[in-house]
Amino acid sequence: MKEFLFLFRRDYKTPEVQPTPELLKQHLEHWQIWFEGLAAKGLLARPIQRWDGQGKVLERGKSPVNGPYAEIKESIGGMIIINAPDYEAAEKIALDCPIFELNGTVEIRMGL
Amino acid sequence: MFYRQPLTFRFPYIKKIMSLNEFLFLFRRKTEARDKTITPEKLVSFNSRWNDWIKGLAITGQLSAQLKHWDLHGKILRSGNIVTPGPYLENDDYIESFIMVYAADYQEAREIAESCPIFELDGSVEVRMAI
Repeated sequence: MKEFLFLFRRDYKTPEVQPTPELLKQHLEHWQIWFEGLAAKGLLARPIQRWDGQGKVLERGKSPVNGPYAEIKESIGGMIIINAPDYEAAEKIALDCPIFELNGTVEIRMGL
Repeated sequence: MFYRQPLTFRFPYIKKIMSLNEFLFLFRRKTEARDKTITPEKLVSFNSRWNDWIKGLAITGQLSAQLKHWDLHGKILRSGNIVTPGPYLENDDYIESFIMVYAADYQEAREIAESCPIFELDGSVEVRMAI
């Protein structure tokens, strides 16, 4: 059994693609259901944690920048760590992740 | 390496009393830097400074989640079941690892992050507060 990191990213910047309040509410409910499903199947290696949408980015030679790291359009909305035997199994788990509703991405990385 | 769990982990009420927040520190590095400039000596000295920094945070009880290493491959999934090899690159930066740290607020978290050795390798730290 290995640990896999799921990083959820989507475009939080472009105004046209942001969900309406109703859609966002539904979207968040889907996340809740999905997370509960993962917990019920015993897949979570760590409890779910949520992160604010602000943040700071620090780099050498630059003063701290506000907001999540967003060198490109997408920034990280959340992350979880799950237990799975290999990449294939981890991918399967990520298949019904709600982030795809908003054209987001899931980055999967294996723990060493 | 095993670090003694900080008091704030074993007794969650301590964290509450001290009204500490948890902060995520995401460490990013550049693929270019990774591939080019690191000599073995530089890497060894960096690793020892890095480990000292993490150990320092563990000893003061500021480290909430252990440092974990993630492979440099990974997969990226997009809607429509599209899978591409990772890691996810943001302008040549990729996430190497993360830790979680206890701090009172963003100001304190920032001060902690500023002492991180990753800047020697032209890396960056993204700090996000847990809610």
